[in-house]
Amino acid sequence: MKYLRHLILFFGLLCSAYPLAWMCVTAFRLEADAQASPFAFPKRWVIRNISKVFASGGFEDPWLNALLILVALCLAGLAVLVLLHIVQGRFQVSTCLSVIILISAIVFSKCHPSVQEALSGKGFANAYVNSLLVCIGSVALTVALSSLAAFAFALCEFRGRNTLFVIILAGMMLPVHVTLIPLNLLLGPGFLGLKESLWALVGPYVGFALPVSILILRSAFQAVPTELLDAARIDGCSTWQVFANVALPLARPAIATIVIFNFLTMWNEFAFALTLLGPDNSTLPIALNDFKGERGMYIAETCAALAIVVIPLMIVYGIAQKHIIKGLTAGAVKG
Amino acid sequence: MAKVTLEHVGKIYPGNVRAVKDFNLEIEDGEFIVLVGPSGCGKSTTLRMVAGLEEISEGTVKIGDRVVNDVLPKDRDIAMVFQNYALYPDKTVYENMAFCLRMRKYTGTGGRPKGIIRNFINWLGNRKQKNEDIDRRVKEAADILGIRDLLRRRPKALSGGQRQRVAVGRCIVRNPAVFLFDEPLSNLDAKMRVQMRTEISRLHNKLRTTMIYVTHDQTEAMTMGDRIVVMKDGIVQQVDSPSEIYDSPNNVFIAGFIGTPPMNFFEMEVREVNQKMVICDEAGAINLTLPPEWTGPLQPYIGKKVTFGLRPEHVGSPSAEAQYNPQTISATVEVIEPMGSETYLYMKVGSAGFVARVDPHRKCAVADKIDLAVMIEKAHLFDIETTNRIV
Repeated sequence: MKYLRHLILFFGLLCSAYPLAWMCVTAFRLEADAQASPFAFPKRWVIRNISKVFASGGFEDPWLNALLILVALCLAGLAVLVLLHIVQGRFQVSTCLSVIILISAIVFSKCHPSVQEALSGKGFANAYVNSLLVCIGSVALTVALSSLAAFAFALCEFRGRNTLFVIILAGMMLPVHVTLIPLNLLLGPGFLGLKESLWALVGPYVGFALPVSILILRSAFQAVPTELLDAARIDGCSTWQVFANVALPLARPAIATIVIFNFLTMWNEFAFALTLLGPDNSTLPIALNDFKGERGMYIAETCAALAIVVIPLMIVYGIAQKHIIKGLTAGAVKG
Repeated sequence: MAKVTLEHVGKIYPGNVRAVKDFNLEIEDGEFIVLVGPSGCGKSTTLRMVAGLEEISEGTVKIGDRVVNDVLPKDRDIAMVFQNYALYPDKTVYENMAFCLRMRKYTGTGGRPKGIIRNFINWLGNRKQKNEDIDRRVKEAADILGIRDLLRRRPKALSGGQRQRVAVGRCIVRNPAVFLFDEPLSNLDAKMRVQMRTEISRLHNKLRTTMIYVTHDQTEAMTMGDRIVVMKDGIVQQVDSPSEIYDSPNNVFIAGFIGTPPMNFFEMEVREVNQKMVICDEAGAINLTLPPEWTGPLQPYIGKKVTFGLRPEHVGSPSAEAQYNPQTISATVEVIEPMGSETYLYMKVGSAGFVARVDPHRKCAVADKIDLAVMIEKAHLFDIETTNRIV
């Protein structure tokens, strides 16, 4: 029985790991080889595909584009760290410094002509930076809004609480693609005029992420022992301080869950990005789509691009999943 | 340090559920008062109203000379220990204890200076001073409770007793006017409970702060309180010192609630025989002559039924047996429970059962019929309808 279970698990691992491994290997093959026999083991390993992926960017030199992505990734990591610190209620010198670095990076990218030019082009590197900006911005906004809303739904008494909650949950039942045309009209030049800018994506992304996030966080806040909240009130916390100092740190596993969940959906989102962004702007799913032509596709190049897209995501997941598993409530009350 | 006064305090929950009714109590400065009663009697609600965690529906609560009905919990100058300790799991013991001090605004010695830069420097200086102040107070409190070596741990890594000590430490740090305890020992194991009980009593002797302690355990109430408030269904039954409550309970409920094993109750009829008051049960198995000084109060009850209450240590105990020519109840032994220092006999007489606390060396066996001496002047009689004590 035990061996059977292990066998099944191993089979599952094979199913999910094989495509990933194939993708990584194919990224280093010659395009002609890959076209001839896609599943064979490579005869020659080449790095050309990767430089080709980076070539379609704002800079002439593909490695400058790669550097741009790397810098963007580092800044994104920094932004995530800042968010984590804020969630933990620590406002230290290091947090302030990180915020200063982030702001200066944004100002620099807006003001320096060559970087500005590189960022405004349409290519893989730009799509990468765009995706990072949109996803991190949307996730941050989602966490901020949903944690506040969930706290109110879980722990504050007010009239119409349940009705409001049901209305928000009803948002989950709406098929996302139904809203494509209304959103196009709403964001179009007649109304908000945000179309073709990245802001056009942030709104819908956050909007559609909120119901699930609120649902998850609400149950996390409900699990916080009420005695702990009473103790905080006696210790001199206002409602806001109870939220920031006591409830939010305890909801960390739930926050990690919604961060990963929403980040994945936003990172892979295609329909909104295709319709709401103009022809000169794109996010990664759109950029990946460009590797596919009308008559066929560049297998090796696509794989290289995919690998570059997926690997940072896997690193983030690897770090964050520890937080999900670790139960932080242990030791709060009798245990 | 402060007096706490509750005047006509009541609590009505939504749906017109009355949890507390007309609660009047004046707690002296430095007094240790225990609220005791079965679960759902409103004792915790009363405490939470004093703490400010529940709104006060009726009446006023005063701490010191200030009416605190509309004062926020943090401004009431109180500290509270919870049943589940309520330590912040993500903070170390040190941070748990320092938290309430960190939440407070620290006003330095001087006022606010003029100018942004000077203000900033002043703020930095205050911050340093505040941290030093917090550090000193946390360490003082930790020394009082002997938890100095635990300061860097997290609550998860502590035992129940240690956690409770940290929870108490968190209160000491604030130096409050009133300590509130909400069943703080009920999550501990029996041995730890006894130890923490004496520790809290010792703490009270040391700090001499007003303490209000809620418990459902009558042993804790008896051992710790200067005065005990017995509650039932939201109504105060009796407020008195432990010995008064034990020796002259106001009604059947208190008599049965305080003391282990609880008081024995019999339904008896009062009769007058040869100008002496006598009580006897229906079957005639128990027949006891009452002391002459009870004749007056018992006059209206002649020929009526009353509840006769007799504590286990007043029947068959060494001091009862040592009386000169005692009255006795003869009953059948059902169960024998040797406790070491004494033996509990579960007796049966007629349809009634009772417990006797006898000498451990007394020889008897199950199903024996034995005579047990009664200390009749220690017994109580209660009105069967109002359940109030007659004598």
